[in-house]
Amino acid sequence: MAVLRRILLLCVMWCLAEGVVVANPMALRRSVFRIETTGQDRNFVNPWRLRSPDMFSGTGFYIGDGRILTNAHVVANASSITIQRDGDSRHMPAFVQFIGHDVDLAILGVADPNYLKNIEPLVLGSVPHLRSPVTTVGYPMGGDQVSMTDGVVNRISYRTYVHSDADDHLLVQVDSAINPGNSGGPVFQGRNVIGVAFQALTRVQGAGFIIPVPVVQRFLTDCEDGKYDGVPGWGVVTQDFVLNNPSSASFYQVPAGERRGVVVSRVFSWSPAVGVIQRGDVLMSISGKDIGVDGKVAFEGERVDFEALYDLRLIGDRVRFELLREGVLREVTLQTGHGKPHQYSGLIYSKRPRFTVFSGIVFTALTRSVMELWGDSWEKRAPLLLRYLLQNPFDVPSVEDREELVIVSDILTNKANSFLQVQSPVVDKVNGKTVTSVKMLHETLMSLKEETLRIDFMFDEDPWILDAAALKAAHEETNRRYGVAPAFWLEPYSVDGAITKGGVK
Amino acid sequence: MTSRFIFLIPVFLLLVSAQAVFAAEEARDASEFERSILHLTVTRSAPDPESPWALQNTDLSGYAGVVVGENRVLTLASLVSRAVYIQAQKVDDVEKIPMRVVFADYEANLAVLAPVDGRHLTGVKIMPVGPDLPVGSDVWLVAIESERQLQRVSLRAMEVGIREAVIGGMTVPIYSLSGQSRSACKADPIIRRGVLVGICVGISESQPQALTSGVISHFLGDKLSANLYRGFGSFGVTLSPVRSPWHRRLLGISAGKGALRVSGVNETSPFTDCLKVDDIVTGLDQVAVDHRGFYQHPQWGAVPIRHYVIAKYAGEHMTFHYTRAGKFLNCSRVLRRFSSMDNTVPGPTNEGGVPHLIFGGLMFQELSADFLSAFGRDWPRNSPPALAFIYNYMNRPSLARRRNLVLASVLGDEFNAGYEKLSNLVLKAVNGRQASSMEELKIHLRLPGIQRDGIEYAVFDFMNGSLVALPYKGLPEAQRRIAKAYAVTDASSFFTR
Repeated sequence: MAVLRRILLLCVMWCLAEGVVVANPMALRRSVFRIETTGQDRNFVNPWRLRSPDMFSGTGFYIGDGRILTNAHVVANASSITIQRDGDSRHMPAFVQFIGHDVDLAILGVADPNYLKNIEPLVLGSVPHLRSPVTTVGYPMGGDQVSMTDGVVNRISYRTYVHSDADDHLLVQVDSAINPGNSGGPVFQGRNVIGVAFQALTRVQGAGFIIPVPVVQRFLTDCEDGKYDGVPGWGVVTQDFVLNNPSSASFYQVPAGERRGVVVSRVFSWSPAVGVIQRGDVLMSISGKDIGVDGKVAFEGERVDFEALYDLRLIGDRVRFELLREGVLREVTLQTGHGKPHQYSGLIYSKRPRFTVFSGIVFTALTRSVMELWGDSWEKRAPLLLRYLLQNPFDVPSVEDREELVIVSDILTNKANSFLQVQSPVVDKVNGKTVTSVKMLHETLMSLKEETLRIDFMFDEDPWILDAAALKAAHEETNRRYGVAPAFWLEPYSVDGAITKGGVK
Repeated sequence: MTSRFIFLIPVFLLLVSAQAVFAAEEARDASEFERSILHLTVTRSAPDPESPWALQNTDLSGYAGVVVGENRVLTLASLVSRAVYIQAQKVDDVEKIPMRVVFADYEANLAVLAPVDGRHLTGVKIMPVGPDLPVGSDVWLVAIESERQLQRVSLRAMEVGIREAVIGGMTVPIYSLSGQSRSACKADPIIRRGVLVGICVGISESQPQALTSGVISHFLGDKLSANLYRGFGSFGVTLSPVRSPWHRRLLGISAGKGALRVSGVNETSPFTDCLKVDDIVTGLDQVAVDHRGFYQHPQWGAVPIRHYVIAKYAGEHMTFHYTRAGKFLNCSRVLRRFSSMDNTVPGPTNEGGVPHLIFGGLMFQELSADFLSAFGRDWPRNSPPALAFIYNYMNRPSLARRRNLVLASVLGDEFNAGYEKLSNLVLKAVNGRQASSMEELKIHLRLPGIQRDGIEYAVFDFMNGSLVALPYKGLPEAQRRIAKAYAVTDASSFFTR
C-alpha cells in the first residue's frame, strides 16, 4: 500500500512539474465564455451594401480588468455580440474593445461589469515544449456545455494566419481537435494558458493550431496605450540556404567558417528597412540572436524563422541587426513602422472597403477581399491580372509608387455609361494623371473641370473617353435609382485592418 | 370523322417524303465519307519540356485525315508535329500506308500528308472543300471509332468566332458547333452535303470547335512548299470599336458611321510608318466597317473585320482608309506572313530541339508555348502566375524576336548547393546585362563576369529579386558530374566558354 501511495505521489509530482494536467478544471471553466455573434460581411462589388446577417459562435476567456480575450474572427464584422458563462443561462451583451485582424485576436468588454465580478482571470504562461501535453477548453459546435480535449504539442512554426490570409506569425500545432466554436478558447498547461485555439487543417485530422503566448502578449502590450497599431511591416525578402554554398559564401565575402546568414534579395520601397538594409546584404543576427543559413533563430528551445522575432516587436521599436556588407560586419538599427497600406494583401474586416461611385461607375480598391468573389480557389479562378497584381504588385513597373490599385468593380447602367465595357478593370490614369488611390480618384472626379473624362486602364489599349457633363448630370439620379448610399467611403485602413479605437459597442 | 382529318394526309405524306429525302441523303453521305476519310496512326517523340535534352516516351495516337487531292491527306499540324512515323489506313482496309508530312502551317494548324516512297493512295475519293457555312447549318462530324467504324454525329454550326488555332498560334475563324460528340474532336472532318466544311480542333464548353472551310481553302490554295508558301496575311495593327458617343463626337465620327480606332501598331507591322494610335479607320480595301467594326461576310453576315484580313495571303496589298485630325488618308502596304515566332512568347516549336542552356546545373529555357503547355491543358491556371502574366499581358511581336528566359529548374549538385529549390524564375540580367535570347545569354556569359576577391563569378538576377552567384572556376568539372548524374547526353546543352 505504501509503495502504491509513493508511486501515486510521484505521478502527481511529475504531472505538476511537467504542467500536464489542468488543475481544478471546474474553477477554471468559470473563466471561459461562449461567445455568440451576429455579423454582416461586406460586399466588395457593391461596397455600400452589406451581405445577409449571419450568426456564429466561439469561445473567449477572462484575462482580468473586465477584458475577455478571443479571436478576431469570432467577432469580425459584428453587429451584436453576447457572452455566456458555463452554467449560466444569461446572455450578456459584449463589445469589441480592441481587434487585431493581423494576429486574429480581440479583446471584448462586457456591458455590465458586475457580470465579471468574482471571475478568476486566467494567467498566461509560456511557449510549450514539443511533445508536452495540452488541454483545449471551449464551446465547439454540437453542444452547449464546455468541452475539454487533451493533446500534445507537435510543432512550433511560423505560418499564415488564415483570418487575414496574408500574415505569417508564430504558431503552435497541437494534435487535439480544434473545431468550429473552439476558436478563441484557452489552451492550458497546468493552470496557465499557453495559447489561444484559432485554426485547424480541415483535411488532416488532429492538426489544430494555437496562437502562442508571445503573440498574445505582444497584442495586449500593443493595446495598452488605448489603440492597436498592429504588427510592424517588414518588407524585406531574404534567400535562405545560399550560404550553404561555399562559393556563394565567398562571393558575399562571408568569413571562412562562418555558419550563419541569409542574403537579402529585395527591400520594398515602403519597408522601414530602406536606407538601413540593402539588396545583397547578408543578415547575420537579429536582436543578438544568430540567424542560421536556413533563416532560423533559436527561440524558446526551438528554431523558428527569424521574422518571428521581428513580428514580436511593437511599432516604433528599434531592432538591432548584424549584417555583412562588402565583407564588413556592421551593426545597424532600424525603427519598425507600418507597412504601406496597399501592400496589405489580406482580407479586410470591420469597415467598408474604400470606394467611390461616379455616375454609376463603381471604383474600389483591389484587395484580397475582392478575390472572395471567386471562392476558396481564387488563386486559380480569379482573373489572372487581378490575382497577379494583388500578389506581385512590385513586379509590375509603375505600380510600386501607388498607395493602392483601383479597379472598376461594377457599372450601374445609366444613359451616360450604358455603352461601357470593362476589359481590364485596373485603372491606370484619369485625364492623364496616375491614379494612386481611391481617394485621389474620388477627388479628381468630384472636381472635374474638363469637358472630357478620359480613363486609361492598365494593360488595355482602349481608354474610356466620356462626356463629363453627361456623367455629372446622371450622377445623383443613378445613386438614387440604385440606392447607393453612401456614394463613397475613403477612410484609411490601418496597416493590419484593425479598428484603432473603440470598436463595435 | 374520316373526312374531318382527310386534309392531314398531304401533310403526312410531305413529312414522310422529307424524312425519306433526309435519310437518302444521309445514306449517300455515309457511303461517300468512307472512301475519303483515312485513319492516321501517328507515332510522335517530342522533347521532354522538363529535361529538354531528352525525348519523352513515344506516343502512339490515332486521328482522322481527309483525302483532299491526289495522294494528299489533310489533318491538323499539331497532331503530326514531331512525328517519327505516320501510317494511313482506309476504313475498310487492313493495309497501312506509310505517310510523310508534305507541308505544315503550325500557326494555322493544318498539314498535308502524302505516301512515302512514291506509293499511291488507291480506292480513295477526293473530298472537295466547300464554301464557308451559313450559321445555323446542319453538318456531320465524322469520327473514326476504334474498330475503324465511322461514327457520324449530327451537329449544327451555332456561331463563328475568332480563336487561337493552337496555344501561341494565329487567331483564325472557328465554328462553334452544337450537339453531343463522344469524340475527342481531333482532326475529325466536318461535312455537309458530301463536302468538307471544317476540321474539328477540340471541344470548348462541351461544344466541338472547328476550323472553317475558308481557312482550309486558304491553306490548300497556297503553294505547299517551304520556299513558296505565302501563308496568312497579318497587318500587325490592333483596332477597337469606338463605343462612346462623346469619343465619336471628338473624333468627328458621325452617328451611324462605321469606324475603328487604331489602339496599337506592332513594330513588325508593315503599317508602322503610316498608322498611329488614335487614327480612325473607316475601311479596308474599299470594304466598309460598321460602328462595331464589323463588315458583311457573304455567309456569316456581320462579323469583325479581322475575318477579312485572315482571308488574304501574305504578300498581297492591303489599304487602310483612315482619318487623322479630320483629314482623310489612305495607306497601302504589303501584308507580312503571321509568325508566332515574332512574339515574345513564341508558339510551339514543332521541329528541332527545345532551346535551353545549362550553366552549372541552372537550366534556362525560353518562355514559350511549349514551356507553358508543360503545365498541362489548364496551364493558364496551373502555370506560375508570373509566366502566365507575361504570356497574356507582355507578349508582343518584335523585329528582334525578343524572348524571356526562365530558370526552369536547378539540376542539384554540390556546385549549385543552396539554389536547388529555385524554379520558374524569369531572368532579368546576367552579370548586369539583360539577355533577351538564349544566344544573348551565352554571349553575356562568355564576357568577363563579376570579380570578387580575385574569383570570377556569373551573377544571375531574377525578376522576383532572387540572386544566384556561381563561380566560373570548377564549372567544367561540375557540368561533367551533372551530365553523368542526369544523363544529359548532348554536350551542347551545357554552357562552354
